[in-house]
Amino acid sequence: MNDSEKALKRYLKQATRGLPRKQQKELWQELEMDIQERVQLHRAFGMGEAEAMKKTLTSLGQPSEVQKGMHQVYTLPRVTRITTLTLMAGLVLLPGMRAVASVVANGQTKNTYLMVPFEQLVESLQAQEVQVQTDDNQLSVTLPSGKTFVQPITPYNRQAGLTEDFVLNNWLDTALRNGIAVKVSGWETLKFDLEGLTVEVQLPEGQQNFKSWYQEAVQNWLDFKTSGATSKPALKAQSTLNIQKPELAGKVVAVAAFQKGHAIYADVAVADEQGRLALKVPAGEYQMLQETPTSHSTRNNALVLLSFKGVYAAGGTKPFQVVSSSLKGQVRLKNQQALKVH
Amino acid sequence: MSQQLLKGHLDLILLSIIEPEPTYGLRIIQEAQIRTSGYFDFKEGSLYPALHRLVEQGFLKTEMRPSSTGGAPRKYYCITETGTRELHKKREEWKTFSQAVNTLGGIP
Repeated sequence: MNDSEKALKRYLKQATRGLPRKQQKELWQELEMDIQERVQLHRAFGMGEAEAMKKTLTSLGQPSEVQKGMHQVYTLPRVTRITTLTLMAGLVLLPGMRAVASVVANGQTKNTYLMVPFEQLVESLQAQEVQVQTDDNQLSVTLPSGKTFVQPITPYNRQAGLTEDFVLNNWLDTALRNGIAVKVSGWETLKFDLEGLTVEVQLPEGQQNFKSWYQEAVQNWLDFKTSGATSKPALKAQSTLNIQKPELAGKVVAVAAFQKGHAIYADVAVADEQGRLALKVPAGEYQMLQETPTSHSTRNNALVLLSFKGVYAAGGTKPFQVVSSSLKGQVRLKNQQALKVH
Repeated sequence: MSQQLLKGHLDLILLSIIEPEPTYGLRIIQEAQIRTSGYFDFKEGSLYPALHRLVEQGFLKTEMRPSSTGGAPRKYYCITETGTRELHKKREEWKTFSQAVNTLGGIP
């Protein structure tokens, strides 16, 4: 396969990604023939094959635009049709019924955080007759199982300056903390099952699969089993660790609880002007780590506290993120080696 | 032209191009450019989703035909009876809308 053929294949793959198989095949053929005709036209005017292909693909625009548009045609309306039929039958989404919402991830999937367009998520949920209430401050979702969970909307889960991005990690974490069973599965299409609601996340342009996201986020965040077994936080944070250290004023402080070498629970908070903050931590006795955690030092119950100076960009769980961070240091609590959290 | 303006009237434009005779994707783009002296310049990103949506809505249907430029058969889009009715409706809507805008804007 020469470079032109490779470029063509790459374009077609990106443009048709995530579509149902039949539509994917049809659109692939349709676009391929258009592209070949354009290339032939350029070549008739003396252009070389590689240059003709490059010029053609540039003039077509981004393959992600085709993909997004086709996704709107085939994925969301499929959802709407199911809804319409449901309504025609005089039914609403009842416990036991299933809903499938679909969104395309924004940006890179190799990062810890998985972001999706907020409006698209809400529209897709509403199209499924999932009860959704949202305003500038919160997103409330009632699942087919009848359970409702509320995600506060803050600058921390709507990435700074990118209001269309919603951090899915935090939303799922809120679901977990509300006792909702979450299943994670899928390689090229990520599927989150939340008690009757499936949220499908399609790959953005240029990304091959969600492997990195699993590695970065899931394995340390959820009790993940490859068979797609129910994932849940290994510990619940029923206790609060109150800290007051004036030197922490305005800083972001993260706590991570470790067990058997893995971070199993984490929380993040911003200290107030007096350096006060409260972190949710699972009750227990911990070894306070005074240095960078290693698998050896975190084999037993251990806690580490880290402080950051910067903008706290996302919340709640192990995969915390701080942007514009200029300082990073360990928080020491009176050099305590052991700490009991009630 | 403004992409928003184009998007808002895409169905009317596409149905108008396809109405006289069945045609395929690239030809639609070229036809729109020729008929408007380059004013309408579609990208595939807006064309194909719109064509497929119109098929899903029953305003267009497709059939495989030998290509006018030779080569393998390709997918042609044809307007349906429902599509023709929709086109007439959209033309009327546009007529009413543009008259109202002309009146408000003081355009003779």
